[in-house]
Amino acid sequence: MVSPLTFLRREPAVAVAYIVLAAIVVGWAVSVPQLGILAVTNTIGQKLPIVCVTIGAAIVLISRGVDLSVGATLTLVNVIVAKGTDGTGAVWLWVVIGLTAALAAGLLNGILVAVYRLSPLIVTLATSSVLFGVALYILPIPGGGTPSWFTRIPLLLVGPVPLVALLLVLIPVVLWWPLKRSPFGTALYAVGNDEAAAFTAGIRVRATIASAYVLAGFFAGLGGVFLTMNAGSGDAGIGLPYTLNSIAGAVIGGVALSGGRGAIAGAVAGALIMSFLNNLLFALGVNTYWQFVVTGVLLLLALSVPLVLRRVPARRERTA
Amino acid sequence: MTAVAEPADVVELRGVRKRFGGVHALKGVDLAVPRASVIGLAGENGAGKSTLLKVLSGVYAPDEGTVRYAGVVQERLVPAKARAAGIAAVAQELSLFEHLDVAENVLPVGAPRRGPFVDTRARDALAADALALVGSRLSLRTMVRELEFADRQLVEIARALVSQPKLLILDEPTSGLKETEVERLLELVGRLREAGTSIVFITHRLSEMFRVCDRFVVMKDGETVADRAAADVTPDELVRLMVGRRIEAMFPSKPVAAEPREVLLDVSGLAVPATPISDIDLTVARGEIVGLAGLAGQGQTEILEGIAGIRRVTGKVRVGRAKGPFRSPRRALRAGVWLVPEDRKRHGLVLDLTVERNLTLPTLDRVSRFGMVVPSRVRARAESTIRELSIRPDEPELDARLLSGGNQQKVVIGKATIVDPEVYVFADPTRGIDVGTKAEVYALVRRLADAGKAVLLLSTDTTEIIGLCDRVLVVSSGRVVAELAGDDLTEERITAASFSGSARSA
Repeated sequence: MVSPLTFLRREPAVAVAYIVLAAIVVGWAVSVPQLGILAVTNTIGQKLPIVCVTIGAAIVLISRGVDLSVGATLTLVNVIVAKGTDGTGAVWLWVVIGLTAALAAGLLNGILVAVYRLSPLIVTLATSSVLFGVALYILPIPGGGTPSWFTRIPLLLVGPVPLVALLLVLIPVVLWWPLKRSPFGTALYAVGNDEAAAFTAGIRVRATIASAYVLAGFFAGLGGVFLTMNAGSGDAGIGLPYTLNSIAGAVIGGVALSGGRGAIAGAVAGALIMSFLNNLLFALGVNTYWQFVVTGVLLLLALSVPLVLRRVPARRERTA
Repeated sequence: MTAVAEPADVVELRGVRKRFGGVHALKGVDLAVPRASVIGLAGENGAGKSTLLKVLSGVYAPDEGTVRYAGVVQERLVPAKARAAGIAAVAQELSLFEHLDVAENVLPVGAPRRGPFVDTRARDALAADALALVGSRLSLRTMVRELEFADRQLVEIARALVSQPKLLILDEPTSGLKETEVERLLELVGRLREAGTSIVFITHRLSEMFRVCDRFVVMKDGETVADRAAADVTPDELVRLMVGRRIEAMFPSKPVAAEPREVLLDVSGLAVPATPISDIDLTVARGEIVGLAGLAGQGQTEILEGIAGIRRVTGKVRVGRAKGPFRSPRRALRAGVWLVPEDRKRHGLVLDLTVERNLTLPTLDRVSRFGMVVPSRVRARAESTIRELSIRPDEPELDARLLSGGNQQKVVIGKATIVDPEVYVFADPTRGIDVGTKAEVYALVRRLADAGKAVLLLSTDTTEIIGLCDRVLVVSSGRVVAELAGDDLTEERITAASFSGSARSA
């Protein structure tokens, strides 16, 4: 077991990300007039989709790949659930169908990248286009609908705690932590570090890489389900920003684009930083144009944090 | 299948052939490793030792021939299968994972589980035991990226030991270790043999070989040429068995040693951080060709890269009046050093550019006017170089990709002659090119020296080093272990020096 202290020494970017996140959240909480439990619950509920998608994107980044199709996967699940449920009301059936489609999309990416050795950038860009096209075919104009009890799920309280806040913690802990502790977890990092060395060590490289994309598909699909709960309807245009935001969030949280390094806990923090930043700027009444500029600038600053942190120990080694 | 009762051999290779492109790395090798024996694999560079070990451990599939583990023929062998069969290898290039910790690196696969999870406590106990065997006291939670070279090597060996292999393959396991660590490893090899493990051992230190090996297998040019009990062989004999007898009249004559001339390249105390390479002193004077010899991977490439500004080094590098080490190839060039790189396809050429564009790439400002490249100047430069080096076909507009390996190499060298530095640094300039082109390259290198340039050249081909160089430094484990010139410059002396490298003192 790795103690929390050891973990933070290894991944200082994670600590920094949570400090920055805390500052932004506090700033937001202070600047929203009359912040009630409903507003808090709603806001946190809005974060669930990007948190899920970012977990998936980070897993692929750790394997030294990249997945540009997570936004389209999320969209596809959104339209499948919204359109399918509309009229029939069989929400859970369509949730299962949607998640199956998401897993299939991930498996396709995984096979093309791991078995056929195609460039992940192009493969996932292509599948993204295909998935987006299918989503448009299913739901050419925004619409569909889900039962109101489904859209109220994010508002449920578990005791005094909003369910969504609980999910924010439970999803990474229940769905990622066991994977990280399984042999797959070590294999994933090993493959991302050095594929040839992983092969020589007897790791099943292709299965590991393919699994990373399948997981990305699953987490993106899960994000789609939560998105549908929030929106209560389907929209084929809704998922586009998720792809790059998820990658940016992972990198802010210390996941290396060069693979093999980073923590999911950091990626989650990174995703929340990006998202809460928008809330904060909105609450401060910052003009929409300036919101874009400020977001971009802060993104650059955040990206430089892991770089600066990585330099420090590197220097010490050189002089030793 | 004939009944095999209690197979005596852990591993048996029969008629194994392996080819890479046009090069025969293994030409029908037979090797049997009996239970509880230590076999020393000896041979010069390119003899096929490392390739053979990679076939043994399932990294390379042989083109022909059979691999038997415990008498059973193995089909479609991969490292995971070899591991399952009780074969563990420590390859020459370390294969650790920088961003995983020591325990995870010792057991990246096959860690004990509790249910679906890795049982970290049990894994840590196993890793700690394996590390204790090699005498390492590293913290299991240290990330490998923070480790020094010697510690990394011990982690790599611990990884091989943790599976309690029936056959342990060690390819140059001692190159970065301190004397006490080497000592402990050799003792461990003895203990493992007593416990019934077989070991195949490659080292360039003959003394180590004679201490632990029961048998020597000598390889030359992809074949096993001798297989002797250790007791029946002396170190001198072993060296003689390894060296070739090829004498080729393809080298330009060397100038008679003249009066000492101006030293153009002066390196002292050069060291490469995080490697065993240190205390490198060397000088190259005008008109001189100095060779770096030794077994492959002893640090020669890193030394050249350090001098040419490609790799960060410490120590002193002086070129003419400029003081280094240089922080980039561009700065090195300004001082007067240019490296002709080892891997022409990766570093030497832009394969999709034409020959003339490749030739003038580093010197575009000389063929430009007002910041724009003048095609007629490019053509003129290229044509004169193509003539001088007789690059075939002599078409400047051809894509570099379409040239033969030898002619590609001439383009890389031609590029250097257009740059026209004071100090030429060549990294294995004749690797993978045909004999005719080799002779042309040798003549060209000598012409450069005669024109007053200083030439530093790395080659893993001993014949070439002897035929071409005025003076040779033998590198072993990151140190210069011998300097040879004149009558001392013989294949026996170089091989003996390559295989004698002493362990790093603690």
